[in-house]
Amino acid sequence: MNRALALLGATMVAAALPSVTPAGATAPLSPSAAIRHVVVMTQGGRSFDNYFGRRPGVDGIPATSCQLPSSAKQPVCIAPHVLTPASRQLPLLSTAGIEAASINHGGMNGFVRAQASDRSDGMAADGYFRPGSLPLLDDISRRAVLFDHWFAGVPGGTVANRFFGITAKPPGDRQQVPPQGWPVTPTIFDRLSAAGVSWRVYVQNYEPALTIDTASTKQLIGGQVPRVPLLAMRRFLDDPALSSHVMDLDRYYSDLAANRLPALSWIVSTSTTEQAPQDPTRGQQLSRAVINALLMSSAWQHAAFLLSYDDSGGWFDHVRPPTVAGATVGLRVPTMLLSPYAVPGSVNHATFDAASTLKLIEQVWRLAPLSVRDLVARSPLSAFDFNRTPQTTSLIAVPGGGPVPQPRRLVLYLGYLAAFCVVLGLWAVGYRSAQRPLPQPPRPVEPGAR
Amino acid sequence: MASTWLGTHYVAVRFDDVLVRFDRRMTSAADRVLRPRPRRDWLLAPGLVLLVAAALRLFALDRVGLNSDEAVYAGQSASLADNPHFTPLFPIVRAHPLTMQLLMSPFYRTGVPDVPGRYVAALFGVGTVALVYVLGSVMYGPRVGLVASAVLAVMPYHVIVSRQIMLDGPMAFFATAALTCLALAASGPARNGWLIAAGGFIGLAALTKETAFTLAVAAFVFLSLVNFLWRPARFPLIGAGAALLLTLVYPIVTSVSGGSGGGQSYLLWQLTRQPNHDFSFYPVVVGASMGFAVLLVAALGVLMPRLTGRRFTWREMLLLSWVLVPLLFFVVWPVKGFTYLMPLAPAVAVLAARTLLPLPAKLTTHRRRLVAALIAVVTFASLLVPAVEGVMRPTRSGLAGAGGVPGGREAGRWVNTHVPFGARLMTIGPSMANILQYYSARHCDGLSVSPNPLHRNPSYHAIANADAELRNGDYQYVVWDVYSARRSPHFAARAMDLVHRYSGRAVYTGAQIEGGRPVRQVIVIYQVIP
Repeated sequence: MNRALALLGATMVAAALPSVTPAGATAPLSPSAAIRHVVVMTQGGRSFDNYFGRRPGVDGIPATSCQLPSSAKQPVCIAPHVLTPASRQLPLLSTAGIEAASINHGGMNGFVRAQASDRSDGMAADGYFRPGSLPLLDDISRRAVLFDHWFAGVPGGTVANRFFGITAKPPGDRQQVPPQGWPVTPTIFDRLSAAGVSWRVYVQNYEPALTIDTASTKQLIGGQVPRVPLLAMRRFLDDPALSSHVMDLDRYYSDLAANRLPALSWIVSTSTTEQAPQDPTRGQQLSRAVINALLMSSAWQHAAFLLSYDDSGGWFDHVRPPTVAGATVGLRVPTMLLSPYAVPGSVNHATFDAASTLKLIEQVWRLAPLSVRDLVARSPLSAFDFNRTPQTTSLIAVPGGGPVPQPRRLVLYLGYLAAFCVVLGLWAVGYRSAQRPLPQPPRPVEPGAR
Repeated sequence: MASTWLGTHYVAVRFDDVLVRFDRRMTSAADRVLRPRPRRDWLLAPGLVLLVAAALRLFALDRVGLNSDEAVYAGQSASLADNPHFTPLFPIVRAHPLTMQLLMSPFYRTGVPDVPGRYVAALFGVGTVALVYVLGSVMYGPRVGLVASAVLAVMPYHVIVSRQIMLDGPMAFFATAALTCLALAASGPARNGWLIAAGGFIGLAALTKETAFTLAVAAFVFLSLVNFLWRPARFPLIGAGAALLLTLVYPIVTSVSGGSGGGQSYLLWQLTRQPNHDFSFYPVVVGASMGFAVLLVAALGVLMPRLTGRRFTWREMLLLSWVLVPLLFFVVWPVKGFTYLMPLAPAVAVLAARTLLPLPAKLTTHRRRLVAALIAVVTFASLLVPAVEGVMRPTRSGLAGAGGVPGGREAGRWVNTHVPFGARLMTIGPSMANILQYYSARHCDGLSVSPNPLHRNPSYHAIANADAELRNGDYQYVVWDVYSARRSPHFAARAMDLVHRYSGRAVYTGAQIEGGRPVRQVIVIYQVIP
């Protein structure tokens, strides 16, 4: 099966490459020549409409958006409400079952009802951020290609989507990592190792001792073990050559500074994931630091940075997920691509899903696909323009550090010009008065005057 | 024994002959220089003085990059000229009025020029020397004018400040013009109209730097002491009104232009600032830069009138009012600056010249004439040597406003070409932050800037929690420099602590070059990891 997939994949790669090399007078770079570093960072628990639903130029929240009430006390039509980073956010549930209830057979109006419980009326799921209220994310998106039809790999939450993100295989509706660990499944890292391509998984606040062997039940639901499925795979844990690829995020920065960035960098946040009820700006500060470090390095000239979210986190989104290769994918998630070869500030409306990330890696390094999902997934290479000169870009700034306000210059120039004219006139008055002797009595001689 | 005595006596006699012959030559030379000459010759001598003044102020102006104050003023000028490199970072309206910045602005329209403003400042300096010639001539005659302008031309204090983009140089020029107008008004009957012009120039000086208001007080003190200038009273009153009106131009135009918000906190800050120097600062530091010999000669002339044969008249009242009133104010005022006494320098030069010139004429014997000539030579030499030293080694002082900052320009240019836009740099203090910000167009903040708004320049951004902001990736670089480290050892140590904590890696090192070899590190830029 794997061999067949490899053969098919190689054929697909060969077929795909010409489509991203438009004809022109100058020979465009091939993806492999242009892209030597792919950095993938996956945050968690945000839908596209939650972050970008009101952004102009995207497939955003419709004016008629209306959620069904969860109780008789609520209005018949619940319209989306505005969130700010300071808003008190409630935890939302994100499972395949809740997602199906939220989709409500394609009506996309069951989010409030699906999130309702004894402690919540479910209204929290219908919130969104206005453009400008998340300045860091806005700044990142201005430098990136924003995908407005990028779907999570599978319906459900972090655990299932993280596993899918490296294997292209849906694990089912899992809320926690299996206590015995994940079954033996080929991962994208196996493909890279087999091809001799360097890779590293950089984990925020990495605890090497915390694996499937030591994790508590709670740590099988959240934290580094669910977010780094390799730590729940026996063969990775038992093989130092493989497990040594997982390291703390600090190493990412030092690798960049020392020009040792591997071909694939897989960034995993564990404490600032942006998942509700977290303040999303904290996670975006981490994204900024990771992106800025890349922008400051020499690796940027040949890099592609993909910032995505593993699942929608229970938040409302108005686009019904499509079916890919016979399987339903998750809801839309925000995804951005930064690269010297990507057109900043543009919006890509094509349909992608989490398997597209794997597709990109496989195409750049000519790897065999892991499953039919990444085989048939649309490649993000279409978002690149290898004809263009590699672009440098400014770092993502600290919010509020905008240009200083300036006064009207003409007023200043005219005011001072008038002052100079006045002084000139006064000098002329003094000069003329000195030339014209005034009739006055003789000045008394001062005592001691020479 | 006898032969020894004879030998000693012979040597003494021979030495006396040498002195006498030398003295005769000096006397004849002095007579040739100082005897009344036709008008054409008297234009030649001031021309030579101006040439020396220009040479000392214009030579090798590019030797060192801008210091902190210069960077701020040049940045304001560039923002006024709408130069896109500067407008995002340098507010037009800051602490001081904008006369100098407006005059410089045409030279800062594009690129990152640094020296043009220094040429403007130097021209004001040369202009002040020329005005001192006029002032001395009006008060004591052209010979005193010539000597006074020569003293000012080589005075290290005036040379050093005139070579920098500072507001005090142009302010001193307008102040000297006002002083000359006051002297003209008092110099003869029916000349009171010059009081109006004097008020105008005092207003213009205050429109250049607000500290010139002390000169208005000095002028008032003088007018109070010599009551003959109050008849008729309309001239001093109109002059005072003109000074006040012109002083108000700055707050009015900034308010109308929409820039008043940028400068409104400065007065409060100035009034509540902590003292930065003790009472000995002006007598010791600025006195040494003006020249102790000059000050001594000027003081002797006032305190010992028999030495010069000059009596105490309105002239001395005017000069002493001009010197003592601002001096008293700035000695008492807790915030002291090296450049603040610039408008006093012309008056000091005239006071010194009025003492120096009569000495050869008053002293009769050869030896006493020789002593007088030696005093003049020593006085000028004591000025010229440190003035040339200040020109050749502008970074020696380490005092704010007294020269350049080593390595700042080169580091800023490196940042401009090697650091991505949007990066932020953390420096030890705001001085290097200003310099790097000027040359690099990257945002820089000083670690030593107080989070308490009452204790910091309102233009500066305080780093509330350097540790947290480095951890968040708000700053990507930490800068250590020798100039700031000398001024603030505590924050220098703090900066290095942060460098070590955040795995700082030196990406740029600037060294002081002497004799073609690097002798010591003056600035190091570390890239830090969040």
